[in-house]
Amino acid sequence: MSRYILKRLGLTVITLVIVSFVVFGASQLLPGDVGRTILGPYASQQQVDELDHTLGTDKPLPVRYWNWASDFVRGDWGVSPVQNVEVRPLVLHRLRNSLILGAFAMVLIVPFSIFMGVMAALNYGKTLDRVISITGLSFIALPEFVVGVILIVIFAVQLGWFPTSSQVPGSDPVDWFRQLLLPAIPMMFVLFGYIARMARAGTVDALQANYTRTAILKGLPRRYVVWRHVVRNAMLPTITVVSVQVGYLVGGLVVVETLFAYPGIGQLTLESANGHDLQTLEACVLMIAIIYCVANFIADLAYGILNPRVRVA
Amino acid sequence: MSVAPVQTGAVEIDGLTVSYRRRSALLRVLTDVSFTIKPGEAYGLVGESGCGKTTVAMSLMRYLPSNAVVESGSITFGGDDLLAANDRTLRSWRGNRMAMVYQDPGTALNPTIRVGAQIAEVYRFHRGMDKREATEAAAHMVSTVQISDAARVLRRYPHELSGGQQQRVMFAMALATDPDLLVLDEPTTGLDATVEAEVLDLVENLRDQFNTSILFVSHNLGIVARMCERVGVLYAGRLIEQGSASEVFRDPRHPYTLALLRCVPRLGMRKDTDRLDPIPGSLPPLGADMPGCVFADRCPIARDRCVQSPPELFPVADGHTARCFFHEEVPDIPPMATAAQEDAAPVADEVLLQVSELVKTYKFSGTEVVAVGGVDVEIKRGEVFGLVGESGSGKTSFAKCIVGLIDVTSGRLSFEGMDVSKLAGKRPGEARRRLQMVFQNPDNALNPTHSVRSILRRSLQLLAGVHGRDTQDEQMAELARSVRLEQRHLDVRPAALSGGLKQRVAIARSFAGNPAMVLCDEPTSALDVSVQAAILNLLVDLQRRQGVSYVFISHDLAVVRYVADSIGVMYLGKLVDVGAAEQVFASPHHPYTEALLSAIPTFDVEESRPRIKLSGVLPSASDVPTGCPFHTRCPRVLGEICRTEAPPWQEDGARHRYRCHIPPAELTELQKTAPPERAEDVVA
Amino acid sequence: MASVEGSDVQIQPPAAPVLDVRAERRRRRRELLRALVRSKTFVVGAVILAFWVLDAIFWRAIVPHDPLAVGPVDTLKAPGGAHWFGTDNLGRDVFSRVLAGAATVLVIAPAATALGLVGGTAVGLVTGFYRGWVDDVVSRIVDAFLALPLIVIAVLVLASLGRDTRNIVLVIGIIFTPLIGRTVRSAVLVEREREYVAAARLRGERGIRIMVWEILPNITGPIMVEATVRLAYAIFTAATLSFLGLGLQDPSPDWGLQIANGRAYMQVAWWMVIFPAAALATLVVGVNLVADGLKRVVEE
Repeated sequence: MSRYILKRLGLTVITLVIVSFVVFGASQLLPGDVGRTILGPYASQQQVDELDHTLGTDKPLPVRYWNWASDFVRGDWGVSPVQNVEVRPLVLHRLRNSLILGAFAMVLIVPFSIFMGVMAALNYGKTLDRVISITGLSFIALPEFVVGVILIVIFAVQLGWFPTSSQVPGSDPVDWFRQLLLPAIPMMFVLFGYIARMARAGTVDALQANYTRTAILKGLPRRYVVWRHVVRNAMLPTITVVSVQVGYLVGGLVVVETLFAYPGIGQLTLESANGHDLQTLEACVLMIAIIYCVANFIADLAYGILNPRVRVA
Repeated sequence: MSVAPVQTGAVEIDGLTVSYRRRSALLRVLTDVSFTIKPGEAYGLVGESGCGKTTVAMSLMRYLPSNAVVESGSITFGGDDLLAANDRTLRSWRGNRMAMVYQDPGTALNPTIRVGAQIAEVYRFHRGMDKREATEAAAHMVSTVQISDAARVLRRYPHELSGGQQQRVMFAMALATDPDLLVLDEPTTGLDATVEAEVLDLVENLRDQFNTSILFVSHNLGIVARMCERVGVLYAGRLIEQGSASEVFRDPRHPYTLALLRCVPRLGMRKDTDRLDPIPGSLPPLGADMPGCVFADRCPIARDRCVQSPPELFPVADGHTARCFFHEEVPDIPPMATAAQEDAAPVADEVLLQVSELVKTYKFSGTEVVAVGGVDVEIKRGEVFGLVGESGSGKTSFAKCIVGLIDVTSGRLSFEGMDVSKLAGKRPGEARRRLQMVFQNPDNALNPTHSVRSILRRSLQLLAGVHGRDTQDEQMAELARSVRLEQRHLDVRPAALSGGLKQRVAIARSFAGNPAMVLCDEPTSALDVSVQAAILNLLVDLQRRQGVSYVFISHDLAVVRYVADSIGVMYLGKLVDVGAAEQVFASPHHPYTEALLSAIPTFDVEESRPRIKLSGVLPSASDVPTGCPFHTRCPRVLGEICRTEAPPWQEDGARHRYRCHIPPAELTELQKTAPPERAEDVVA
Repeated sequence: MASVEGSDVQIQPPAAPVLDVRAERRRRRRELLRALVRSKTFVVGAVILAFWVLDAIFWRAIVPHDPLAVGPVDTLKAPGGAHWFGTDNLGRDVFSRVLAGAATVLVIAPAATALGLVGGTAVGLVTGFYRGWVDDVVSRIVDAFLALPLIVIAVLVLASLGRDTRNIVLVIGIIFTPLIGRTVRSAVLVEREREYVAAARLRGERGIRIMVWEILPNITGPIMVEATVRLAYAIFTAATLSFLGLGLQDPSPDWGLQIANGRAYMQVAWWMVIFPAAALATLVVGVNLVADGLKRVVEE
C-alpha cells in the first residue's frame, strides 16, 4: 500500500510541474511588455526598462520560470499590479469561498447521484432506468449558464425566492440554501449526469459478474447480495469519476460565479484574465490544479482501501 | 431435514424444452430432454459447445438468462416441483439443498471480500449462525476440502489464492450445507492438468464423505468417464444417448457418440500409424428447423428415414438408450478416415533451429520475472517438437522469442544459419518467410475488418514476394486448396466462418511463404474436439508433404504425443525433460513428466493408473526455487541436494535426457511404483 | 498431393450464409442503421440535430426580420405580434436572432472537434501502438490537461492570444487532442494485443501500416462515439466562452453572447435570455442523445 501511495504521490507532483509549465508558458504568450502594460503608453522607454529589470522580466525564460516557481512554492505570490494587493491572501480567500460553494454542491448531489445510478441499474431496462438515464444524459449536456439564467429568471426574478446575485453565506443554515442553492444547481445537473451514469454502469457490470451469480446461487437474500456483493465493487469505477469531476467543478465555478456575481476563485480567474493581471491569474490557475490533484490523490487512496488487489501491490 | 431419505436428492427432468428469445424469434436450445439422477449418483452430461449442456445445468439451479423461456417440461427435485417454486423457496434451496461450482473460479469469488467471510455467509443465512460460529464452521469446511493452512486461507482475498485453491474454496462453499444436489459445470476447464487432477481427486474424496447427487457437465469425455456412473450425450439440444458410463463409452450406439470418441487422440496414438477421424460438417445453427434426426446431415449411415422423421430413444440394453433408428449398425461403422498413408518426409539430420541459453525476463514494477530461464534445444529439419508444461512454464514466451514477437533477454537463436535473436521486424525477410506461427485463437488471429482474400493476398505479397493480381489469385487458389478452403470462403470476412475454417485460413497464411518451421501455439485448444481432429490431420498432412518442422505447444499431452517426434517438458522457464517422444512418455523420465502423465483423465474405464499428487502450489516465476526448481513439489525429492544444487542432465540413451539428481537406472526402478504421498512440509 | 485431396474433410456450408464482402458490408450498414432507428433516443436526438443543422444553413431564407437590424422604437418588446420572441434592448428581433445564432456554434464546434479528432487519433495510435517513453510523456501531459478545466485553459490562452473564431477553434481542438487521444489509445491497447497484429508483425509489416491498415479499421466504432460526445462538449464550451465574453463579439447573434447581453435585462425582459438558452439546450441535448444512441449500437 505504501508503495502505491508513493507512486501516486510522485505522479501528482509530475502533473503539477507540467501544469506549471503550461501556466507559465501561456502567460508568456501575452502580447506586449509587462512593464509597458503596467506603466501605460505614456511612460518613457527607460522607465519601462527599469521596471522590467526590477520585476526580472528581462531575464531569460528558464531563469524567470525558476524564479517564478520557487517564489510560488515559498509562498511569495507577489503583488497584483492591477488591483495593487497581495495576491496570496486574495486568491486564498476567494478559493475558500469557492470551496464552500463547490462542497455544498458535491455534498448535496454525490450521494444522491450514486443512489440513483444504483437504482437505475437494479431496474435495468425498466421505466425508472430509462427516466434516470435520459435525465442524466440531458443534464450532462446543459451548459451551466443556460440552466443558471433559466433558474434566475424563474426563481429570482419572477418568484423572488432567491437573490439574483449570491453572497458568501453566514452561519445561518437557511442563508446557506438561500445564497448557494441557485448557483449550485447548474453544477449539480452536470455532476448528476456523470456520476449517476458511472454508478449505473459499474453496478450493471457488477450485477453481471460471476461472483454475483455465486452469491445468488448461494441463496443469499437479494438485498444483501446488492449491498454487500454488488455495490462495493460498483463503487470502484465511480470513485475515479467523482474525483475527475472535481476538475470539472472548478470549470463550472468560473461560469456560475460570473453569472451569480459570487466572489470565488472562478470569477477571480476570469477577471484577472480579462484585466491582464498575470500574477493573480497564474496563482489562480495553479491553485485550481492543486485542488484537482489533491482530490484525485484522495480518490486514489479511497480506491486502494476499497480494492484489496491494490492494497497488496 | 429429510423426510424420506431414499427419495431426497433424486432429480427428475422430464421433457424439458427451453428456448431463447432473440428479438421476436424463439430459438430452441433444448428439445424434450429427460433424465433422472438417483440419490448419491453422479450423472455426466457431455457434448460439444453449443449443445445446450450449460442450459441444462442452469435450469437445474433455476438460473436461466432473462430471455430464456421454458416452453414445456418439468424438473422434480426431491419430490418438489422446481419450476413452480417461488423466489423465497428458491432462495432457501439454493446454497442449501442445491449448490453449484463452475468454470473459472477466479471470477466466481467476490474480489473485495475475504474468502472466509464468503464461505461463512452460507452458514449465516442457511443455518442461522452468528458471525463467530459461521467463521468456525467455515474453517472446518475449508480443512475438509484439503486446504492445509485453513485459518490463514480464510483471511485471504481470492486473488491471493492459486486457481486450485480458489476452486477448493468454491467446493467448500457449495458443500457447506451438505446439499442434496451438486451441479458441476466444467469445474476443471481452464485449470492446469495437475491442478485439474487434484480437483477431481477432491471431488471423488468428497463423494465418499457427502451423499450428494451430482450433475457433472463437461466437454471432456475422459473426465466424465472417470467421475460418473451414468452419462448422457447431448447434441443440438437433444439427449441422443444415455446409459452407464462404462457401457456408453465402450459400446456407443449413436453415430455421434461413436464419432466423438473416435476423433479424440488417445494416449498412445501416433500420426504415423493412426489417422484421426473428424466429424464432417458442423453443428446445426441455433433454432434450426430439422424435421428428422438432428445428426442426419453429418451421419455416415443416415438414410431417407432419418431425414423425414425424428427417432425416439431406443432401448439398446438395460438402462442404455440411443436416439437412432439404426443403433444396431453403429458398432460396425468403419472409421471414416483412411489410415495415414502418405510417406513421411524423414526427419533430416540437419539442425534447423539452434537455441542456446535462451533467457527471457520481464520487469514488473521492480521485480524481475523469469519467463524463460536458459533453454538449450536443437530442432531438426522436418521434425515436430512438442512442448508441454503448465501455464506459467514459459512455453508461450519461448515461442514468441523464436518468431521474434518479443525480444530475447540473452542467448542465441540460429535458424537455417541466420541469426534470429532479433525482433521479427529486424530480421532478414528470408528468416521471416521461413519461420512462421499459428496462433491459439483464430477469432483473434484474423483481422475482422479484412476479407480472407485480402488477408492471404497480403501474406503472399510480403512472404512469398508474389506481385500482380493474376499470379496472386493463382497462388491463392493453390494455397486455399492445400488447406481445403473453398473459393467461396475467400470472399467473406472471418466472422462469417466457423472456428475450424478460420483456423484453416490462419494456417494457410503461415504457409504462404513456404516456411521451414511453423510454431503452433495451442492451435486446437479453442476448437471443439471434432474440429480439432480435422485441424490436426491437416497440420500433419502439410508437415509431411512440405517437410516443415513444427514447434507444437499444447497442454493436451495426448495431442502432443500424437503429432510430435520429440518432446520437451518445461517447468518454471526451464526444460526439465527432452527427447524422443516415446522415451519422454515412458519411464525413466523426470518426476514432473511422470506427474503430468498421471494427471491425464482417460475414458478407458478399466485402466486406472495411480495418480501422483504434487504438493504445494506452483512457485511464482519471480521467485524460482533454488537448486532444482521442482523440489518444492517433487514427490521423489531426495533431500538437501535437491534444495541446494541444480540437478545435472541425466542421459537416458542417446535420444533422451532429463534434469534430475536421480540417475536413469535408479529412476526406472523407482517409477515402477507410485511415489509415497509427500507430507505438506512446504510453506506456500 | 493427390492422396490428400478430399481424404477426410468435407466442408459443409457454415452456419451463417456466406456473402461476399461488398454485400456483407451493405448488410452490416443496413443493420447498423436499423439498430439506430430502433433507438428512440437516437431518433429524437437526430431530429433535433437535423433541425438545427438545416436552420444553420438556411436561416437567411426563413428569418422574418434581419437579425442585425436595430429598431430604436421597438426596444424590449414582449413576445407576440410581429416579434414572436420579443425584441432585445436594441430592438432586434429575438426570434430571428435565435434562428441565426445556430450558425456560429455549428461552425466552431464541428471544426474544433474535427481538429481534435485528427490530432487525437494520430496521438492515440502512436502512443498506444509504440508504448514506451512517448506514451509516458503524452500520458503525463494528458494528466496535466485534465488537472485544468477546459474553460480555465481557454480563458488563459484566449486572454493571451486574442479572441477570434479561429483561436477558439484552435484552443478547443488542441485541448481535445490529448483527450481524444486517450480514448483512442485505450482502444489501440486492446487491439494491439490481438493476434492479428502479431501475425502482421510476423509477415514484416511496418508500424505505420499496422496502425492504419490493421488497427484503425477495428476501432472506428469507439472513435465515432468519442467524436459525437466531443461535439456536444465543443458546443457546450464554445457557447460558454461566448457567454464569458471570450468568444464572438456584438452584434453577432451567437446564443451565448445573446444570453450574456440579456443578463442585464433579466428583470425586465426575460425573453432575451430564455429563448436563446432554450435553443442551446435543445441542440446540446440533441447531440448528446445521438452520441448515446450511437454508443449503444457500437457497443453491442
